[in-house]
Amino acid sequence: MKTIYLACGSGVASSGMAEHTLKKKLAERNLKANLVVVGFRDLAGRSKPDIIVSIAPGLEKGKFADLEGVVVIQGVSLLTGMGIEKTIDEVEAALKA
Amino acid sequence: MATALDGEQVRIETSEFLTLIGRSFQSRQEVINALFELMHKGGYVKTSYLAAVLEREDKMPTGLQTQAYGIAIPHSDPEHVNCSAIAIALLDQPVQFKNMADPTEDVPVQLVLMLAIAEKGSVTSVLARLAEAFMNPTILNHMSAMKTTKQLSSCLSDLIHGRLILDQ
Repeated sequence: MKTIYLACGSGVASSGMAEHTLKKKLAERNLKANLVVVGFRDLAGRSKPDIIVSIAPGLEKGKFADLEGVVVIQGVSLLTGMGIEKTIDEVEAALKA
Repeated sequence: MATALDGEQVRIETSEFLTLIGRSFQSRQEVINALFELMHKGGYVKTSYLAAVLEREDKMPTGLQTQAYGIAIPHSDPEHVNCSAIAIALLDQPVQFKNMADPTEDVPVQLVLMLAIAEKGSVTSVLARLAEAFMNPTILNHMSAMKTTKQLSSCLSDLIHGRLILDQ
């Protein structure tokens, strides 16, 4: 099973909200993954996941951790609902890749 | 105010005294400051919370453009929090926050929910219900129609305790 990190600034509020929605959306499409909520600053000390759904931008610049080979997907739509199906399409594609 | 729910205690305070309606603000800093004053007076947050929230807002802003209208969820790390609480402001005139999705963009914000969370991984059912609400224009429009601090705080309390029932 692939691992998805759900990342936000502190790993306290936004990612907790997004986790609920991502879990629900994955279940709707019958997709399975290990979902882990992390703060940006915790990334460096962890092993690389397959996919990162990031609630805030900034990860792609490699500022917080080396993410080579990791699929990074922008996921603010998990909080606003705007464009959420497109985000889940990207997650689905990465899970099936 | 803690209520048993889904096997999890909802240990997050909401109250009329943590609620602002109809006040006029020139900037996001002013709103954040006013909500901080309420939180701090109630002892929910430490003095350091204010600077931490403002700094975070500059680096990683919390404005969200939802289908209904712009909202913001300023917050900080748990080390600045004594006791979990939500302070809420409903604004007559929107205030510009920066967009979480793109910090170079402005979002005109009508509803500000300042979150003080004392422990990582806590209050998950509350966060889940807030997430559901942000994506539901019926709920957000119901909240922005509130006229008094009492109405708005009971609406928020009903929402996070799973008691808010609206015709969709």
